Amino acid sequence: MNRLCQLLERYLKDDLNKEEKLLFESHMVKCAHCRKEVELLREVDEYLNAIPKVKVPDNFSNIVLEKIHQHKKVVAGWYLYGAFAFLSFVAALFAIAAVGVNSFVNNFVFLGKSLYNFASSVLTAVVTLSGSLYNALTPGKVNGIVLTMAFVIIFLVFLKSIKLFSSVER
Amino acid sequence: MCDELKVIDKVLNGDVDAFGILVKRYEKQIVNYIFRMIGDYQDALELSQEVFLKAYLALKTYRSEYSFSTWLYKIAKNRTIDFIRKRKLNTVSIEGQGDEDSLKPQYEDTGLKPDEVYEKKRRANLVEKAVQKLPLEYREVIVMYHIDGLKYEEIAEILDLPIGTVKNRIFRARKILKEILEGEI
Repeated sequence: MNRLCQLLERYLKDDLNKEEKLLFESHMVKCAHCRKEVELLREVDEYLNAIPKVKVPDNFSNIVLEKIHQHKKVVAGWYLYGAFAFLSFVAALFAIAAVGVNSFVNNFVFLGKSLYNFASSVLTAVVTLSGSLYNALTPGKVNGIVLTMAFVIIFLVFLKSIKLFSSVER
Repeated sequence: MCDELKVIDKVLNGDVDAFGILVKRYEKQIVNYIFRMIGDYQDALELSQEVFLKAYLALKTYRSEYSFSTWLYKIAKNRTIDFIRKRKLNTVSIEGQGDEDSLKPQYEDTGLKPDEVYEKKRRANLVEKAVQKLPLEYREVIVMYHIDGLKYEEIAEILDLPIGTVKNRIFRARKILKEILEGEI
């Protein structure tokens, strides 16, 4: 072993500059130890380079493109779903305005009043809110708001089921 | 490279089918990289498809100062490591580790005679198995350098490591392989 043998590791890591590389290569001619090490690792390199590459199926890119299109369809479905939900909401508002704008406005006024009462007195607000909830949910007094909410929920469930059917993967 | 940027622009402007050009260009490298990392051909194909889908969805974030292949490899590397961690596949055999029905890989034609093919296949099989035995950080550099033919600089960029570390890992990996293969080949 001489000091040039110390360059062996860096030589194998391809980490020597031009002069060092030349120096080490001329050293290798005389040094059997370094020569053997280099040959052994070169052999490993050759084996590694000889590992065959696997084939990729001819339709690989088509499958990828199909998956992209499929993904876009699913995303578009969600946008459509959101748009329908929004439109249903707007339609519901119009329906409320058409069939019972007075009661709708009254509810808002009532709610505002409740909030005002809440600010002035917690106790009054709780009582008022409880009263209004009781009025809204009393059986036999199904009003426009409840009907609209039921319509929207049923409509959304219907849309969701259509979307689920359309996004079933092939 | 310039041509590649034009294709990317086309894809970003809504031409999904143009992405097929990029897939065709890199499918072989990505599939081979993932296959050598996880050892199962069918999973490698599925994972590669996911990688390309992910690349398509993230294409807006691609910056042209980096090469597209490096960016793609980063996605493939992260996805592969996630997969290996999930399946805890630190050491697997190259063939037959999956189900019996698992798809067998088809190798590229080498143009050799049958007896040469047999010997070459036997050796390649031993080397492949040895590569699979390497710890993950050594396996990935060996696969990238020797099987995918990437340069030190490219590997360093993909793995976010200094070039010296990459060279060091390749050196250590070869040494481990040499020890594993000694007496077998």
